[in-house]
Amino acid sequence: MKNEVLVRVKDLKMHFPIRAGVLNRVVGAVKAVDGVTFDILKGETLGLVGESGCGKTTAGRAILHLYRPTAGEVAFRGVDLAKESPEYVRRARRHMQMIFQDPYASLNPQMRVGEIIGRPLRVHGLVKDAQEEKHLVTELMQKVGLNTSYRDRYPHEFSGGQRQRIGIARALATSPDFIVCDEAISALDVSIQAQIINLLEQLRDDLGLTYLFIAHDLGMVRYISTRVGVMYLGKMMELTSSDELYDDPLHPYTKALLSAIPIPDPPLERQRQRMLLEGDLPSPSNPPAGCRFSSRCPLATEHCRAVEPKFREVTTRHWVACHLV
Amino acid sequence: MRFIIRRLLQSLIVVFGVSIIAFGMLFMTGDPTEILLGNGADHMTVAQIQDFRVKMGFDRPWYVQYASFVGKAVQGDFGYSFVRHEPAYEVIMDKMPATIQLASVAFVLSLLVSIPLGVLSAMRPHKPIDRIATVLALIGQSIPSFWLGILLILLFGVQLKWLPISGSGSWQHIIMPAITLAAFPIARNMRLTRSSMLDFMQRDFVRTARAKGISETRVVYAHVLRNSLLPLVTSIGLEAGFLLGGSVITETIFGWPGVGREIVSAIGSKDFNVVQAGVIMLALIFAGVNLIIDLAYSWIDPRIRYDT
Amino acid sequence: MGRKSVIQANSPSNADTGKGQVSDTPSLDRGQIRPEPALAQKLLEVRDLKTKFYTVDGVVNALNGISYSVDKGECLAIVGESGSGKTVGVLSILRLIQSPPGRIVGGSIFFKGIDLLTLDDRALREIRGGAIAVIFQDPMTSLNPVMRISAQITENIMAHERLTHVQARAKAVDLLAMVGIPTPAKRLNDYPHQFSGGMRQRVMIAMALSCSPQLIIADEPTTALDVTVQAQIVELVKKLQAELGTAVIWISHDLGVVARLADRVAVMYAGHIVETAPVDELYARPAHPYTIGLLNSLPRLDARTKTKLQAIGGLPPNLLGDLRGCPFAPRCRFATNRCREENPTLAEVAPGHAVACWHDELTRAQA
Ligand SMILES: Nc1ncnc2c1ncn2[C@@H]1O[C@H](COP(=O)(O)OP(=O)(O)OP(=O)(O)O)[C@@H](O)[C@H]1O
Ligand SMILES: Nc1ncnc2c1ncn2[C@@H]1O[C@H](COP(=O)(O)OP(=O)(O)OP(=O)(O)O)[C@@H](O)[C@H]1O
Ligand code: SF4
Ligand SMILES: [Mg+2]
Ligand SMILES: [Mg+2]
Repeated sequence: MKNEVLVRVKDLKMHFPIRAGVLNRVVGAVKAVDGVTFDILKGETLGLVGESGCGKTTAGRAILHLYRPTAGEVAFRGVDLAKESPEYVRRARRHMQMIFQDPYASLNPQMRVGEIIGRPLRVHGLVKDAQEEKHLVTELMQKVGLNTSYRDRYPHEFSGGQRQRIGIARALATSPDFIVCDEAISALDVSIQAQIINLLEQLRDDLGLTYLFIAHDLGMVRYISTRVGVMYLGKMMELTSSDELYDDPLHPYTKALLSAIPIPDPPLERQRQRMLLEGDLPSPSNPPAGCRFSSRCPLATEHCRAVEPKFREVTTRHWVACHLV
Repeated sequence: MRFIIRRLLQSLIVVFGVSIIAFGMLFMTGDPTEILLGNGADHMTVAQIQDFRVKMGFDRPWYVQYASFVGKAVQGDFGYSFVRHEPAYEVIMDKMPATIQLASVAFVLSLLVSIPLGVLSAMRPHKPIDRIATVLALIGQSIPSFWLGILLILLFGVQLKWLPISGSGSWQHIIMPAITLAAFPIARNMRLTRSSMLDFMQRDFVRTARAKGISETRVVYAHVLRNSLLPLVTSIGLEAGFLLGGSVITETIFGWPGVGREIVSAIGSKDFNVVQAGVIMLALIFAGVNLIIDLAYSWIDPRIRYDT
Repeated sequence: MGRKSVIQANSPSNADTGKGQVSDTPSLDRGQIRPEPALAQKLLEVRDLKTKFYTVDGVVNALNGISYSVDKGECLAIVGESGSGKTVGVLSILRLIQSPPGRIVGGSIFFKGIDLLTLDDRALREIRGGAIAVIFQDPMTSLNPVMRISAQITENIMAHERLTHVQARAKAVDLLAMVGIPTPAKRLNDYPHQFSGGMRQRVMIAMALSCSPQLIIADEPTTALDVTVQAQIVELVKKLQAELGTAVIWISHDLGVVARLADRVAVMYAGHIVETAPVDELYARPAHPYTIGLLNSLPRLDARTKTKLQAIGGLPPNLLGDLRGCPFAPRCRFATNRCREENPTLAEVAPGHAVACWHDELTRAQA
């Protein structure tokens, strides 16, 4: 039972066409996600980190079938939804939900909090009547630590942290098994982030949830995740357990990323050596040949610039895509 | 280059649309034969009327008529004016310089007044100068131009006798029609300049500019104003249409011998070829002006230049 | 017990002394926690600064009497919750607060002994972009989109130095090279949108350095950037600061970056400075319950043992209207009735370490 696979992602590609010209012809593609493979086990929290634009959000949305993948497959409980009927997909959706970064933009400003949280219940036909809905909404609000007397208020009357709680309650309404948390805490104050993280952890333990936790705060990701995947320009570069990734990173990009993150400990920080990357992220519509990281990698060889490394398991459950590992 | 071609195509579509409307005008009002013959039809036999219909080509299907209409129009042939007995195209082109003159003067006037006024009131929001300008703008935007024209005539022409009431010939003649025509654009551009200035005044880069220690004048002109002009340029493009369209009323009031007045009188005499020629020529100019404005826009805003 | 005497001797943010502060002369060292020899004039000394915003919803008390100082060549970090007044605090120094609705209503800001709040516009402009330069948070919006980089840099140079246009351009090229922009002479004629975020922030830094400032104010200069680019910028600033000896005020909410860069830290909460200390001291022995909470709510990247994060409960403060008592009291574990009635003032608890909390002995014992 322990290692049951909940989500299986195989060679997933998600390209967005770039259109230009008088006739709006497709002149290229943003390779937002360009062939990633991984599993998400039941009950685990898989962290996904990487720089802005590397395809984390796209991967998350493709896994929830909010996009139709360009290639590859995403199986939920062993079923590839892309091959199923729309009705099946619609019903399957209630088992997977998403929590967004901007808690304000993702809440309808014209709806009361009670309606926002109750809507998925009605949409998926999970309640018989208004009475039951009200009861469930009250329960959900208590679960996420919202004062139930606020149910008739509008989103703008809440602080950022409270809005994120509303978003979480809405996601929980359909009793999902799997939740994609896309930068769910990035917009919040440091002192509030910990509140939400603790809430997410507690819900995971109480309800047996599985998370895909997308963030660029590697400290938080390490804290909450069982395993962590590092993405760069639409590719997975390294994937292993959270402790191993931080203690023994193998990919040069992971090393650079970790060394770029300052630790809140002044004496330690003063001694730490930085491994500074040159330049900026290349464009995902025109990634470097060979290894995607070769244009910024301090260790890159000719071979790296010519041949794309395979994503392979170098030690038990430690996956890396680098020629030099 | 791509950008220019795309804009050209768009302009062509506009002109095409106008040509359809201008062409359809004749049919929308009923049987064109009857309209053209008017009361005259009462004295004609059915055969005569049918003859006329065939001669004019009204018996053919509408799309054939339209195709032949367009085919001729691109060569500048809009048919004959029944009233003036000369080609409709020439009737219109004769009047074109006067219309362009009036529109240009009104255009320059509107910019010269509206931008400085907008800047002034944005610099002192909610102070007396801003309030006065706002009230003036409100009046300018809400007063119909025929009404403003009549007021001007009564005041400066009839009462004070400072300016000629109608006609053309001297520079004094153009003052009142130009003001009448420019009133609305002045009001609108002033409000646009003001709100756009106030908006840009709060932008981060203006704060950066201030933090450099450059003078406030430079902050306003080099940073705020240049950015504020961008939305204005778009509005100016639309304004070309307004100035050309507005000339119909203004020219009629002031007896200004331009295309607008010609169209009005042609409508009165059911001289549809002239109406069609006038409307299409104005549309062509409008499209041309817009094209120039778009190019100017991409010149002012470097982001557009490089994106395409 | 020692605490009380400190308060009476010099209490920089005592409410009843607030009014008279504006006319104070620099020789009075009321704003300093410890009397110092007259020789050691601070580069910047802010005393009891109060800024309010008069909005339609009411008065926002953005700054409620903050006092701090910056030495020559020092890096002071200001940290705090969003909306705690960090930005308003530093923008007030150069009187860059948007006005209306904002207004500096009290206090003084001495830069090398001159009160910036009493300067006329001309003299103030000489300091802006000259002796004090600013780097703003969002490099995407902080540069003029329709003006070439060259013009944006040279206008700063030419506002302060007697140089010809050609000389100013040459200097701009040097500056761009100094901040690590490849082929600077070519890039000079580009527009901001042709640069990436990190590159734009480098341009902002070049601009800030253009007239050899003695103080650079950096308002969250890396918050909008990716971590790898943030590291580049942080290291660049650190290097330039060491080379040029410029003092820096660095605003951040990333306690990691602060640990890397700062010599001293001031923690803000609800328009007050609630704690200030040398950086090592602050992280090792935080004394204010908010600082303690902040440090405890951070997961450590390098920590394997998993201790539960200690979140600070409650909501961030609302600055609308008058506050009574300690602004942190509603969220504070240690709060007592006194806390809810009386606002604690900054008092020194160790050399260079001052805290505004009635129960700092208790909190330090627990931390
Ligand atoms: N709907 C879309 N159409 C076209 N391009 C897209 C679309 N969504 C994303 N992209 C592009 O795909 C790339 C990956 O985007 P994505 O949002 O997945 O990145 P991310 O890793 O989530 O970044 P961030 O950390 O900024 O949220 C980006 O270059 C983005 O511009
Ligand atoms: N133009 C303004 N009008 C009204 N209130 C303002 C204005 N600017 C700032 N404030 C208020 O002043 C207070 C302090 O704002 P400030 O921008 O200094 O916060 P901050 O600490 O810099 O936050 P952040 O970390 O989000 O940048 C806030 O409560 C804010 O709402
Ligand atoms: S003064 Fe009181 S409420 Fe404020 S921080 Fe100290 S203990 Fe907490
Ligand atoms: Mg994203
Ligand atoms: Mg700020």
